[in-house]
Amino acid sequence: MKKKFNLLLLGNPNTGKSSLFNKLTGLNQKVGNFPGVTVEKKEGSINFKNNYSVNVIDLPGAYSINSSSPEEEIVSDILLEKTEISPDSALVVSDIENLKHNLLLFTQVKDLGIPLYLVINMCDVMGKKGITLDTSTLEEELKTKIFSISTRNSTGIEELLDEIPKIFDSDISTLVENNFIDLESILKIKIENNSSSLYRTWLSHIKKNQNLDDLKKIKHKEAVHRYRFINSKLNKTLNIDREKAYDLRSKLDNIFLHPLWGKIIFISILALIFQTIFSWSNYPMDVIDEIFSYLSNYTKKVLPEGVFTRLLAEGIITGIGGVIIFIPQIAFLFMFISVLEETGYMSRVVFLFDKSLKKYGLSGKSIIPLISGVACAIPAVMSTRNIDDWKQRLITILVTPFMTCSARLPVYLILISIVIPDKFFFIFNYQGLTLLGLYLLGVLMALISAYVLSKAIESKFENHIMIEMPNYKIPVLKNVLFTVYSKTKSFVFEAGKIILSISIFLWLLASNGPGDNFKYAEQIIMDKYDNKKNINELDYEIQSYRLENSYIGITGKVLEPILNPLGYDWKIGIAIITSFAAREVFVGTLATIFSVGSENVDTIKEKISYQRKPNGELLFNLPTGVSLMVFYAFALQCMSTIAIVKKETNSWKWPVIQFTFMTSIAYISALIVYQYLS
Amino acid sequence: MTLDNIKLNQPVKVRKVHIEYVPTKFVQLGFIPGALISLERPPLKNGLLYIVLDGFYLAITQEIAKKIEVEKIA
Repeated sequence: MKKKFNLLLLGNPNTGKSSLFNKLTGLNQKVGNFPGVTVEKKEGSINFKNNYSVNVIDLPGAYSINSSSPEEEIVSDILLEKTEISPDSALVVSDIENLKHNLLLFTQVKDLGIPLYLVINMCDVMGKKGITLDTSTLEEELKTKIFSISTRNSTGIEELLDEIPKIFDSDISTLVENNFIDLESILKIKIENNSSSLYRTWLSHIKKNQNLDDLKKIKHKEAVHRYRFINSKLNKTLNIDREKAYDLRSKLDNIFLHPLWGKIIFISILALIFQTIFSWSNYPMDVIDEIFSYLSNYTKKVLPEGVFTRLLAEGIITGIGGVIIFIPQIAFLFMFISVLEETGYMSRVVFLFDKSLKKYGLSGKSIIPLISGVACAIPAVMSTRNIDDWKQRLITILVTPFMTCSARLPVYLILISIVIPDKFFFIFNYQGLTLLGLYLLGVLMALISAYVLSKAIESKFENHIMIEMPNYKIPVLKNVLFTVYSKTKSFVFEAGKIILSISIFLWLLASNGPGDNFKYAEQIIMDKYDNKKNINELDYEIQSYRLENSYIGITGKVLEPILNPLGYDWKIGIAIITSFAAREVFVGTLATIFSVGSENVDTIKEKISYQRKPNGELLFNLPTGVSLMVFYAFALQCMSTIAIVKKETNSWKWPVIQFTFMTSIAYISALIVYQYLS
Repeated sequence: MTLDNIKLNQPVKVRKVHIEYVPTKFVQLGFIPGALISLERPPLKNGLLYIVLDGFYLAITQEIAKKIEVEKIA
C-alpha cells in the first residue's frame, strides 16, 4: 500500500460531504481553487500509525460524473485522470433520505474501478422518517462496504476512520451491466489504450467523439439504465413507511414560503444581518484600527527614523491593518450565511426571489450579496460562492460593487453638506433625499448592469432551473464556525496579499517624489511662512506641499486635463487616486491637500467649501459636487474589492473588465451630470 | 398531460421526458419514465413548482414541467 494516497470525497450537494470532511480532517485543511476555475478546493490530511497519511480532497457536489456544470466537469476530469490529482480511492457520501438519487453517482464511480466505500449520512433521522435499511444485503448487492454515519451527532465516524487504511482491499469489479455501451468499438479502444475499466474508456471516448445532441441521448440512456439497477437493489433493502414519518417541513414551509409573510420574515432576517455587518462590526473594527494605529506609532517611536521605519510603520503595518479590519464583517456575514444554509432556509429564499431576480440575469441567492454590498462589497463578493450557476454568480460579483457601501458614506456626507442646501421640500430634507437618491442609483445601476451582462456573457452550461429543497435542520455550531474560519482564512491569505501589495505601492507613491520640492518640503514651507504660523498649521502646510510634489501629486496633475471636463482639478485628482486604497480616504486626502487636520470634519468642510478654481468659481459648487457623488456611486474605487474579485474569479480578466466598465460608466455619467448642471 | 398540470394530492407517474428541451441534470436527478411525482405545495405566482420526486424535494419551473409528460396514478 502507498505511504501517502488521495481519498476523494464525492457526493450530491447537501449530503453533508463538507461536514464529513471537517470531521475527518479537523483544522488540518487548506482551501483554494481548482486550477483555472473558481470552484473551491478543500484539502486536508489524516495521519495514521505506521507512518502513512491520507490526503483527503473534498470535491464539489455533483449529481453525476457525466458533466453538466463546472463542478461536475472538475469531478469528472479528476476521476478520469485528466488532472494532476490522482483518484487513488474515494468515499461516496449519500443522504439516507435521498439514497436512490445519490446512488446514481455512486454506481458511476464504482464502475470506474476506483477503491471506494459508500458512506450513508444522516442516519440519525431514520427513525423519525420511518426509514429502515438492510445494510448488509445492500453491501452485498453493491459489492461495497457501507458505513452508516451521522455528521450531526458524530456517530460512525470513528469506525469509518479505522477502516480507511483498508480501502484498497475493496472489490473494484464492475457493478452495473454496461449494456448501454456500444461494446464493439469501446472494447477495441480499451484494448488499444490498455485501460482498466470499460466504463472509464467509454466515458472518455463519448466526451471527445459525440456531438451535443447525441451526448444528451447517451447520458439519458445511461441514467435510465442505472436507475433501473438502483431501483432493483433498493426494492430489496430500503423501506420507507410514510405513516411513521413526521417532520416540520410542511408547517415551516407554510410560514417561510407564504407569499407575504415569507418575504417579510426574510426582510427582517436581512435587516438583522445588515445591522450586524453595518453596526455591530464597528466595535471590533475600531479596536483593530486602534491596535494597528498604535503599532504604527510605536514602531516609529522605537525604531530609528528612516526609510525602513516609515515603510514598516506607514506601509506594511498600515497595509496589514487594512486587511485585518475586514475580518469582523466577513466573519459575521458568513456566520449568518452558514446558519441560513445549514437550516435549509436558503433554498426557501431562492424559491421566493428567484423569478424576480432572474429577469435581470441574477439568482434568488444573489439577494444576499447584493444587500450585504450595502455594508461592504468584500464579504458580499465572497458570499456569492453560494450561487450554484457560474454565470449568475459572475454577474452578481460584477454588479455588487454598485451597491452603496459604507465607505462611500463619508464621501457623500461631506459633499452633500457642502453642495446641497439644508432646506425642505414638504417634510423632506433635500440633503436626505439626495442621500436616498444615491442609494437608489446604486441599486438601479446594479440591476441595469446585471441585465446587460446577462445578455453579453455566454455560458456553455445549461442553467439547471432547479432548486433542491432540503429538510429544515438545527444548525451545527461546529460547522458554522468551520465556515467562518475557512472563509476568513482564505480572505486574509489570498486577497490579503494583493491588498497589502497595493497599499505599499500607494504608500510609496505618496511618500516619495522627484526633485527638490519634495525633498526639501519642510525647509521651503518654513522659509515661506517664516514662523508666521503655529506648529500645527505649519505641519499641515508641509504635508500638503509634500503630497502635491509626490508621485501621486504629479499623477493628479497629469490627469487634470482628463478630469477638467468633469469639473475637477488636480487636487480632486489626487484625492481620487489615493481613495483607491479605500473610498473614505478621499476626505482625509482633501484635508491634507487643503492643509487641515483630519480630526475635525467641520473644519475640513469649511475649508473645502471655500476653495476656488483659477477662474474664481467655487471648486465645490453644485455641478462639481453632484458630478463627484455620481462618480463615486459608479466607480470601482476600492483595491480590496478588486483583490477579492480576482480571488473569487481566479483570474485578472474579470476584475480588469469590471474596473474598466465601472470606471467608464462613472466617468461618462459624471461628465453628463457636470455638463448638464453647469 | 404534462407535469405543470399536477394537482395537490394527485400523484403522477412520469411517462416521457422530452430530453431535447429538458437539461440532462433532470434526467440524472431521476426524471425518468416510471418515477413518481407529487405536488408539495400549490404553485406560487412566481411559477415554481414545489414537488416531490421519489422522495426527493425540489422546485422546478413551469417551463421545464411542460416538457415532462406524466400520467395519473389510478
